[in-house]
Amino acid sequence: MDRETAAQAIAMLVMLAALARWLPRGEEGDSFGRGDPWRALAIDQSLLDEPPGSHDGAAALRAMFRRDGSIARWTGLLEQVARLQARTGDGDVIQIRGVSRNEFWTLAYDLYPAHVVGRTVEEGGSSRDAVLPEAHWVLTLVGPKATAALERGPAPENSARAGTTPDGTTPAGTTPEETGRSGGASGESDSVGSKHAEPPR
Amino acid sequence: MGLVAALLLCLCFGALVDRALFSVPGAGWIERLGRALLFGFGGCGSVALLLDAAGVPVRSASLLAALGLLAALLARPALAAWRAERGASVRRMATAASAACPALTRTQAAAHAGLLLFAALSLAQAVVSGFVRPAFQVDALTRWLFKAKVLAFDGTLTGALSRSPGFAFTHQRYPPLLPQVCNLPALLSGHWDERLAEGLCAWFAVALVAVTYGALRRRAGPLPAALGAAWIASLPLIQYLPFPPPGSGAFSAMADIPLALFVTAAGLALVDALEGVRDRAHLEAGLCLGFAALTKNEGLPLLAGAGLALLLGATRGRVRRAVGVVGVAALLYLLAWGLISQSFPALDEHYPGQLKPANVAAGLSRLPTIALTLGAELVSFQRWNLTWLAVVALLCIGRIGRARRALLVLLGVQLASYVLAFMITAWTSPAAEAAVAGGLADDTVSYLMSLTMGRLLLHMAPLAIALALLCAPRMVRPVGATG
Repeated sequence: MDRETAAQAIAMLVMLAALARWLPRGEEGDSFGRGDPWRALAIDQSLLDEPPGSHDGAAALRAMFRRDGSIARWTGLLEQVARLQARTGDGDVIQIRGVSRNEFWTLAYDLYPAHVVGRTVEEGGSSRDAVLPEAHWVLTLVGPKATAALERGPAPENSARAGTTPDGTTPAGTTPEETGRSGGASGESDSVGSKHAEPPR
Repeated sequence: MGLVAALLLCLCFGALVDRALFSVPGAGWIERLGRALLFGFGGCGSVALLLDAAGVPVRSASLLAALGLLAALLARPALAAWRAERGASVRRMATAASAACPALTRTQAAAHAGLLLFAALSLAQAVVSGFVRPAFQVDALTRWLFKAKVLAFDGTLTGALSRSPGFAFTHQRYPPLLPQVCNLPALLSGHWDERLAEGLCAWFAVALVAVTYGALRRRAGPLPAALGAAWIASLPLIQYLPFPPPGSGAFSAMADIPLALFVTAAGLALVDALEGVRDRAHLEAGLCLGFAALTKNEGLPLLAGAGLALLLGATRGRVRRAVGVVGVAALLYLLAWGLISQSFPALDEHYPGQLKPANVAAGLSRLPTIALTLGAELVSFQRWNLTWLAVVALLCIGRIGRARRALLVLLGVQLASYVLAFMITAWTSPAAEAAVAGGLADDTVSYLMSLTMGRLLLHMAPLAIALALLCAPRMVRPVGATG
């Protein structure tokens, strides 16, 4: 075989290898990774089919590569994040309890420009950590199913956003003092007052 | 609309820079598009970084004013270049360049079109995924997109994010050209939208494929160029694989594909410079090296590699050329990020600080593990198809000229820097320690390599593919040739 023919053969093999990935998916652990592009397309299609406001797709993606990843856990967190994003802003402090280091960092991104504080599980923190006095809101991951709960913290609310909830109603029944006393998160109540809060999944 | 506006801004500014500063005889529209995106991303990102370094908040007004001023300065030379392109001398050069692109038979033309279609479909998948998927990779969220979001809200990266220990997880000294580019949709639309910021990232892959296709087409002909485009666009780690965690794909808002773009563009410009086929290729290489250094820390060793490549590959004016190219890159890096970043906290991953003889000596014991992991990565079909085996095979049967040997030096220095980093790193994490305790990894470095080796090789893969196709024996016999 001359060098030109060898180069052509190599080129053919390269393209055949790329095309082989589009073959129907093999069994789990297939070392040729057949069907991987189809799998990616299926992920995108399911995201496109999601109803507006759903966090299931984002939660599934975030949970995909975490050793502590669980879709339900991330769905609950992202729902509370969406609620917090609607009512917090620059200067607000959100305490996060009961989450891992990577989750804490990711939530810090999600909630910016609000500032997140708290101890991660790796730092010895837990969902029962005392509520910090500077916290406007406290987001806690609690219970055996790791559901996310949101409470108002003891810090005075920023006047610009005071009293508003995502649905535009005024929260009632919860004062900073009350939530401040709760200390470790109970997880039973969603913070903004059960009237206005959707139960965490 | 923010995404479209950002892309148009980058295309227009990049095309102006390309036309005003560089002349590429024989470039087709695909290469022009790729080069416009290349200089648009690098140029807009660098200007935003320079504004921030100068203490000017990065807002739409300030950035557009700075870009407008530069555009006004570049307009005249761009117009002159456009006029000169009709001149006889450049036409002669274009004719010479097109000699490398012989006419194709009908079968060859069909293969060429089929390969380009495959490349386009592969890129389309990455671009759509980039827009459809919410960001999910930890590194993308906590570094690149976090900084882009801070820019969108605060207009600067010199504030608390870069100085407070509470934000150490964002890797405060990491160069932020990508966040500046990701911030463009927010600047132009007036509001932060994660999907738009992430959606822009996949276009770096489009530029990468287009630039490589154009450079190969001018030098090796249309069919090898189309093969290179299809090969690179369909790399699993670019097109569809979301792992190795924390990922690398064109859709994942990570900085690996942008770095690969600048590395490849710099390497291809170096070949043009060493072979003297066009003017100002040295300046282009220097600029692209600067963009690479502003994209990731891994771009910095490239400067040493490029300097060495020029010293070994140039036939005359070696020192002058090496100093010129590396000087342009280093100056851009220092002015836009290097100087101000010195006042930010250094992390445990601050590799230059760990580069001590004692650490290197202690790291020698890690070499067998590093070599084994690297070898396993290179032959992994799931991640690379047959890429690295084919690159080595093509280089073995090809003819590697002086200038192209210099590219091998560049790639070798880059790979050596990664090996050195694994030797001296003191990196650890709770996840790594848990993996070691659970018997899933031998040590923290093995764990680190399992996360990063694929991404690191991705920085070099497109240039390695281009080099292999440049050196490979001619795969297509010119029309009319006999025997």
